[in-house]
Amino acid sequence: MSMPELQAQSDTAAISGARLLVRCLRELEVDTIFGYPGGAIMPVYDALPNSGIRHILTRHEQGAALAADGYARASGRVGVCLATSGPGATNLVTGLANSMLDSVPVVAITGQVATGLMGTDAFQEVDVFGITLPIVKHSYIVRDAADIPRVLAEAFHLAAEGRPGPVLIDLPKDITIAQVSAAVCLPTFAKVKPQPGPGIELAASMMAASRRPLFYLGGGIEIAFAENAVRALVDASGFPCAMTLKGLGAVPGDHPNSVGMLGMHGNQAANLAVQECDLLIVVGARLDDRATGKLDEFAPGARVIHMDADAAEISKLRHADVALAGDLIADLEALRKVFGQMQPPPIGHWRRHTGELREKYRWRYDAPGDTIYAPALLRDLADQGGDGLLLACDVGQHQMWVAQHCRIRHPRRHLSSGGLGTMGYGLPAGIGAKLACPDSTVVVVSGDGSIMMNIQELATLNRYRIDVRIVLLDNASLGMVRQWQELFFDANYSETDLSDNPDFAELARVFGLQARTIDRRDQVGEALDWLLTTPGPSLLHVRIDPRANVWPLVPPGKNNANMMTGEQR
Amino acid sequence: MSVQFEIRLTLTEGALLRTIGLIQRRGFSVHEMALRHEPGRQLLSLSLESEGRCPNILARQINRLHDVERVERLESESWQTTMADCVRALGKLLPVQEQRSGVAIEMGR
Repeated sequence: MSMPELQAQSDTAAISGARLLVRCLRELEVDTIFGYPGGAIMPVYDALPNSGIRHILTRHEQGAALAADGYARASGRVGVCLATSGPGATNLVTGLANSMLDSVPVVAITGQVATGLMGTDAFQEVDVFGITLPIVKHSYIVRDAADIPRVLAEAFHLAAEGRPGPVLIDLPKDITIAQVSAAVCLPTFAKVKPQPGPGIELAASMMAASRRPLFYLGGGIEIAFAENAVRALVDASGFPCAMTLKGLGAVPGDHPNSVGMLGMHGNQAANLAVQECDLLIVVGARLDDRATGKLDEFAPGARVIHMDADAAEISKLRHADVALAGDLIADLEALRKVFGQMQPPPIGHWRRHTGELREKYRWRYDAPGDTIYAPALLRDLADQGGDGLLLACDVGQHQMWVAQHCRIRHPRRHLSSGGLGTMGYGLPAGIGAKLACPDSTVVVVSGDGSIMMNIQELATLNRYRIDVRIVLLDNASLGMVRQWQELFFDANYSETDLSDNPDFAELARVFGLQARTIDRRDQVGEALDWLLTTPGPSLLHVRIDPRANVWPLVPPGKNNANMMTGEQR
Repeated sequence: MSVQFEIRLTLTEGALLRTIGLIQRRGFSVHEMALRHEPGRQLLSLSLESEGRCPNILARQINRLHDVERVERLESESWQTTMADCVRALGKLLPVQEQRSGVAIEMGR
């Protein structure tokens, strides 16, 4: 890469606000931006070439926001997206909400009409600052170009610190063209050495007194890079552990203490263990309704230790007997140390019981027939992909099958829109993940409903030859909604039939991808081998039984012990 | 349940809107509101009403806003005592036999 133009400039020269912005982004070690140009953001785009920052032109701003989200989740660094004012800015909204609900550090920079025009209904003027207030961690309107370094430094700090989240910077056009000093003086933020919380002794005592303890591991663990600390505590205590959708990979899915994923589509072992435990140690989780089922019947006999970076999550939905709000690593390590000095509880019977549950409810892959059984295909994908596999999911039945059957072994290797449930997440998230982790084998698992939500990003794959592989599970319907219509709406299939889908393999080829279609079980092994070994972006179109359902299922309004099961197809 | 807060906000764009919006989204209605400017900050006094929501959790949610310097409840109860509000609010969510009295509660840092 050539010497960045902006670095070559004198610090005492006057430059435009846009060039100062780009210079600050470089100083903040931003290497990749996802965006889409337009009128109000043009000065920033004018400053981007030769800046040393890679810009990825997505084909829709939602794709940019979700790609920044995927980049951030896979790397643990702040993702950055860029859009113009008006529709460009509003198209970011779903992506920002997605990052907010899943606590992902993203900085979104939007162009805005000039300050003198703000409030006059000018062309492409929209109050994106106001629109996004509920779905960002913080936001700014830059009113003075000299504030750009401070605002950017604060935004990046806020996005990543504590419980991460998206931060929006709205940048009026006159600010970007105003001349200011080129000197970049980014404020820095002192790092405070995290200290364990005051409840450690009490928490350790409760652990030592328990007879049926269970860890409840959530997405906060991968956000805090606390996997080693939690694994050490799980190993030292010998306590069984269940994971939420976002917590998968906190400990390996095949860890002997793991009873698997809990919740609406969790496995029966995990859901029953939660209902039977006498102590629930919640780590980095917010007790989402999809995980708890009917809240007032959730873990009815358990006392609760709740550890989270965000004090506002503790006792929000379930009373915590001990609250440990703060740094997860510090608290987990302190807890392991104090608990290690105590007499370990006699939990042999409980461990045997949870082990028996795990064996009894082990996933089965013996579905009859020769149509492709999606869970088995996904199990094989995970096996063949190995530890280098990084999965980005869309939303729907396939998302749950991935969570159930891919046995996620590591954090930050399973990107899934948990809180918002954003159909269309998978492809742009996979793009962001591949750019953040070029050595990983990134596979997007999508459905025929979800893929069409951001199908235009196939053009982004082709434009930059981003080596993302796509497994498209096609059941010719909006499968999860169809499943609920079958089960809870008297099989009244309203607007879920997608049998008029395009030929997805042909469509992918039109976008410049390699593509194949399979529809028989005996084709799976060879097709997965092709997908995983053929370099370059590709799509494997997999036709599955339209009647296939995700099992088990905790019906809405029921507790997690009430799991429905059904035929495997 | 009626509660009164005094919130010290920074003098930044959107601070008031962000705070009021959060309060309403979290299930509290604003009955009375007064805003007073002081050098470098604004003081927001609020009287709020809610059914079944915990004011202590709301205070923590407000407190995590970057625009908020301090949140104070104006009732005479101490913070520790007002945790009882949370237990009462959560009482609707917990089975009766599981409600425990006298449980030690550690506040976050």
